[in-house]
Amino acid sequence: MVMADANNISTNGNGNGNGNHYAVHVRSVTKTFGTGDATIHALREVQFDAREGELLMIVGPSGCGKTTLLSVIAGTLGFDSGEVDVFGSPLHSLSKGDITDFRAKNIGFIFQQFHLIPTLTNAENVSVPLLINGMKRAIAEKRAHELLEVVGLKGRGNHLPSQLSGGQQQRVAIARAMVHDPKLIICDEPTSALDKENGAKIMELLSSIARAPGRCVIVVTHDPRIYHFADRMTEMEDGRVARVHAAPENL
Amino acid sequence: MYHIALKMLFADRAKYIMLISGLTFAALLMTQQAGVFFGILGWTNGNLKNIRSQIWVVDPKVEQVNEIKAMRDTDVNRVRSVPGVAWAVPTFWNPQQARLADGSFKPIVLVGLDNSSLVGRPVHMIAGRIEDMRLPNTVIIDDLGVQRLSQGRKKPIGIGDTFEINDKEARIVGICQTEKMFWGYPYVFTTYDQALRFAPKQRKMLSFILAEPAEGQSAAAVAKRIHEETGLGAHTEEEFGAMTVKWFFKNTGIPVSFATTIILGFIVGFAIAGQTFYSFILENLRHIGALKAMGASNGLLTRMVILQAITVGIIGYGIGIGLTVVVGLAFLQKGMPPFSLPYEVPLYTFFAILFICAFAAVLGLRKIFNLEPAIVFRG
Repeated sequence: MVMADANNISTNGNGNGNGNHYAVHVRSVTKTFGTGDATIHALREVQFDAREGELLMIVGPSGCGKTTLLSVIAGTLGFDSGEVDVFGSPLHSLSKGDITDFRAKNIGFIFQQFHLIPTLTNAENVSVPLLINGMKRAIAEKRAHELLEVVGLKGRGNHLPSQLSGGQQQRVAIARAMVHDPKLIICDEPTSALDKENGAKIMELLSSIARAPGRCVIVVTHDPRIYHFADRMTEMEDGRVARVHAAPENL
Repeated sequence: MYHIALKMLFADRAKYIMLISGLTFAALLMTQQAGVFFGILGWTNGNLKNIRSQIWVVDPKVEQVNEIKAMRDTDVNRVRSVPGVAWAVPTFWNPQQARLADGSFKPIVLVGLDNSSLVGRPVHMIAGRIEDMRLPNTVIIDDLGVQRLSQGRKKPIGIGDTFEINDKEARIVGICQTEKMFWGYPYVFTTYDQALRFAPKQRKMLSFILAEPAEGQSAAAVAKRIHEETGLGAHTEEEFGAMTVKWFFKNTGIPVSFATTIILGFIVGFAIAGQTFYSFILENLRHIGALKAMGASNGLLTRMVILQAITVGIIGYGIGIGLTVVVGLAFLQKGMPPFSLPYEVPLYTFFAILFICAFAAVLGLRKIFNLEPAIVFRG
């Protein structure tokens, strides 16, 4: 087992990541919620890196700051101090509008509860990121059908999400996360709503996505069944990165 | 993204129907009640529509066209002598009782027109000749009169039939069409002299003097001069109409009653649509959060919400106006209650519905603007 000091991750971690470039570079990020006695320190001077071509997992007990860190990296949550670079874009110095644009173009999301819009067909759900980026509806839906085929849901594009199993719905969510070819894919507990078999299939899919050049997948999870899919694992405690494991199967 | 906004809207059937119902109800209530109100206002000016004249001269105490304070016959000559008056004629106007074939009585409005000129004559004749009212004891009744005065007869009253006005026989020589008046009485036209014979004798019998300005003179200026030189009340047709409407606003509860209903319609529509749209947004907040996380800007989400609000607004308004037209046509066919829909009513109703929709959208948008996209990562 290789255990890296939280501040020297970049030098010690050598998992299965294909690239040598940073995908995500977080320096001294602090985030608090509330004021006065009610202040909660969600992130305390966090140092964190993720590399291109790797699937990195963030683990830790509830309330340790995993989801907050994920939200900060995704640009969906502001932070009090520190610096966050995602594929060379300094989120700390971008305006809210620029961060929104950045998310639309460069980040794909996979949520714990899938967040598929139940009234839209699977293909329409998958096409949403393309439509947000201004693509014409017909082209976007054609591309969505192609992506659904890639994730093993050929012919299910015109069905509603409610007509699919949980594992299939998560596949739709993965297709939606990939459809606009983002560099970074953010996954929040992607297997918590799935059984072991479906969870494993989803993780295999995410692992293969992470291998693509110029891409990175960050997964927040509580699910030890999937730890072995990680190239590296960042363990958080009390708002800090406590350890980085380069061989997570031994965790 | 706009088709997605519409699909989200239409798919939530219960809320969609509730939204449309609220807006339809508001549009229907506002336009239908306003239509009846304007219909009633139209009735208050029925005399002005049925007895056309550019200048109306009345006793100075008269405040509106349905009010009579008789003048002396000599007042006609005083008006004629005012510079700028082309002509002036006496007119009798007074409610009377008509005795029907079965012995029952019905109220009528007896109108006596200048014998020679017949100024103020009915605009639309349905049957008979207007000039025949110069024959002894003859009258022309209106279409409402045919309905009301036919009581006790095997077939509707018509030309050649008779009835009594104050025990004097009146023979019908024509049927005309009139606009209804506020009291809902039928019009019975005759000449001025015959009207004085039909009506009970009083010291003063002259109800109105109808006058016209000389060529090149404005009615308003001549009316003003008549008032200055005779001390009588002199009004142009428009002024008299406005005075009448003002009088009804001031002296009856009608406008307040209708305004209350119209405002209630607005408030109910406002509450239903606002509340339903807000809860629609609340229920979709997690999906909207997901869209925000995926990079949908506030601008894009605003346009989507406005499209949803405008869509329900236009559909609700359209159904509401459609129902109003159906109800209005039924009223007009039946003749009761009065109904008039000037273009301003649907226009202002449209703005009111838009306002309701804008309010509903703003309620939802406030929530969306304040929504942190990170909400999608919370449980």
